[in-house]
Amino acid sequence: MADKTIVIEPVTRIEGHAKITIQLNESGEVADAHFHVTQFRGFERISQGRMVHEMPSLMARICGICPVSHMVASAKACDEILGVTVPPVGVRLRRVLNLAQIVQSHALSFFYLSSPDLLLGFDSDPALRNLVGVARQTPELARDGVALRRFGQRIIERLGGKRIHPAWVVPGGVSRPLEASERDSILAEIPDARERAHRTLDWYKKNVASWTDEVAHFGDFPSLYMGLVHEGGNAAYSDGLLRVVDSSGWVMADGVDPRAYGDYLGETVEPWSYLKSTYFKPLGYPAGIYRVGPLARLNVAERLGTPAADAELAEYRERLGRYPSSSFHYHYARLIEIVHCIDVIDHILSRSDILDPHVRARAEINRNEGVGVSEAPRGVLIHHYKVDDDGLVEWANLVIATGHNNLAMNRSVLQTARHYIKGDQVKEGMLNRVEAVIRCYDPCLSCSTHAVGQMPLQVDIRDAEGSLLRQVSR
Amino acid sequence: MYRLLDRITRGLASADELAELESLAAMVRDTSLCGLGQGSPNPVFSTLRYFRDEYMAHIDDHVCPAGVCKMEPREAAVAAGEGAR
Amino acid sequence: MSVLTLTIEGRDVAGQTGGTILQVARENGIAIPTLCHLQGLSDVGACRLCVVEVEGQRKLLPACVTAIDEGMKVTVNSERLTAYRRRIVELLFTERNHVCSVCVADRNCELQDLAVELGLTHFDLPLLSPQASVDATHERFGIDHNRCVLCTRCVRVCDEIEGAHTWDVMGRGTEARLITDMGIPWGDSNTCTSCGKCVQVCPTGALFEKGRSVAEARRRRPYLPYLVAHEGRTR
Repeated sequence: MADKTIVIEPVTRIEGHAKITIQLNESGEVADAHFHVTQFRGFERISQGRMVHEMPSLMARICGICPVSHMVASAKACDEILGVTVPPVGVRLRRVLNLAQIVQSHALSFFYLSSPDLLLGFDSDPALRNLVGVARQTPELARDGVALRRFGQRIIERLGGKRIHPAWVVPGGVSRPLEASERDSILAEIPDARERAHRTLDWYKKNVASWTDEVAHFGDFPSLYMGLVHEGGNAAYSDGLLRVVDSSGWVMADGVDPRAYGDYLGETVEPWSYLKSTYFKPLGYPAGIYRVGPLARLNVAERLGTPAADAELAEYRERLGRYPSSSFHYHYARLIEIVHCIDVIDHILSRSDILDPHVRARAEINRNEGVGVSEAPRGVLIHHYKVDDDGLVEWANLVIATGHNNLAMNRSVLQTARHYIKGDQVKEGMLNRVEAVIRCYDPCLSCSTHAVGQMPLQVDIRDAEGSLLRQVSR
Repeated sequence: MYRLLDRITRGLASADELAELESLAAMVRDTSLCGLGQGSPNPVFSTLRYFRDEYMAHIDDHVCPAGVCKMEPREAAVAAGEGAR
Repeated sequence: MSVLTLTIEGRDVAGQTGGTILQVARENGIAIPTLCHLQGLSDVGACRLCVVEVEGQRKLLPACVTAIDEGMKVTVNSERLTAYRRRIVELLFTERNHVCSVCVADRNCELQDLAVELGLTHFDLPLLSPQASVDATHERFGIDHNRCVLCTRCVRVCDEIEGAHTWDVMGRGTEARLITDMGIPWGDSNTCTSCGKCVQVCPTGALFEKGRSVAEARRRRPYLPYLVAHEGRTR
């Protein structure tokens, strides 16, 4: 039997365009597997020559799922270029916006994209394996998903004026203070959201035992983990400094000012993908493989900082160990983060000073370079700009969560493919698992225009010369 | 207008684009401030009046009856048509 | 000065000798779309959006610079006029790089308003996507040529009201660009008084105050005492 390549293109139920290729060797075993990002966006070029004040809104256009995280990271880079200290209430309002964004994005990832696999089974009928199928089987789970996503989206809408791409976050703070009525309507929705988040978490914990095989083969390997933490070790989402730990808990780097990211993170471009791969420089490539996002955040932080979420975190660590290493647990971590984010939003908005009208600092261009960092739903996001004296962008570099995870995603795909795929008798459920491992990372391929789960999946099985042996379509 | 004419002479244009050219030319004639603007689409109008069949030959049959225009290969025309909009 | 009578859109109206069709129409509550016109500045008839049909005239006439005449019969809205106006706005959009979503004047832009008013939902014409620059050398203001529609309001306000004549237009056709002084960076101009009138009259986001972020442009036209606020459109 000759060498064969299986191509999964496009990968469905993720945000963006990608494909997976799986190479089989002569005996039909998986030799290698790659996750390819096939879209190219060029925002780093588009931003050249633009006014720095446009950057938060321009960069938000990278993505319709997590525009807020881009805005926050971008605005922080701009704050540094202006050389201003953002008023504390401005910082808090940005924080609320980012947390709301994490809630809605996590809800999208878990309920809309991944729950069909978890609830209906990885081998279930692909025609029904979507949110509609979930709604048919357990309507309350689907309802919770829709409601949690709406909760997050409505906060963004109330603060920023619209659900997607609000122009509210600006260099120096936010453009408009919070109104009492807006705060009250957000606070009124919190108890319901909290109840739904806990109900989902309970459902997940009850069912986690049934996915033991997937847990063991969905990217279970030691790696480094990176995330933002506050001083004292609480998880941070919009502020804080970078910390890197390894699977046994060794702190490889701590208190890293995001400005120094270049000393710690190296970037390499692989020929098979438009997505840059990032690695931890002190360990080199490819040994410096690391993960970011919910799983990594819970690994690097000592605690979350809200009582209910910390109780859940304690149980999570009791079940899985202090440093869980399977990417399957991204789902679990994501649900705990939803609980945490809702409580933090509640806490910040209940402060008496939150309506303070002083939310923005103004200044001219005072520095020629700025770095901003935030935790996007899927992990650490870094924006780095250089501007001329007039404030026109000369150079921009974006290090995006999915880039941090690129090496880990490739390794996970290989592990999952090796375990589930043998020979060319490939069943749909096997390939679905290969896609599902990618969904664990909730990669955001900088794309906002696709109807979820609607893309046709086509698998080409080719021999070594590239001629088509068999085609499987959904 | 130049762009549209250029596409016609290279055999890349569709019948829709000819209609586009005619409407654009009419607009320029009717709304221009001075005689220069009003007269600028005249070459298009007069050639269309007397040589419409040659325009159509470029578009439909992919040939230049006068042997002046260098036509792009037909595949390019198809590809351009798909990429135009 | 005598009074002339005419009909606009079938209505009998009257105006003073020397008045324009646009003036009389607006006095009588008849809307005519405009872009380069701004009350208080001289009219140049450059944008062609205000063209109207006058009975007995083969040509379309720009309402802002056409004087009224006794017995004139004017049509402001017809299928042809609306189509032409929509096409003019489309040409303005496709000639430069107008991206509302990241524009300082988003939701506060006369070009955007015109597109909505005229129902311009998509472009039939290809985008020219020129490589246009941004001049941010001035201490307080900037000009983004990507968003300029060459209405020349800035040129006129600078010349006629401020008396500085810093602005002018260089080049022809699609190459035409606004310039300060003899084509030097705005920050180097020694005629510019930094009064900011040009920024206030700009209909789009081409001229902007530095430090303003997306959708934050505010045109304070009522504060220019010599200019009457741009009427006919509510902000």
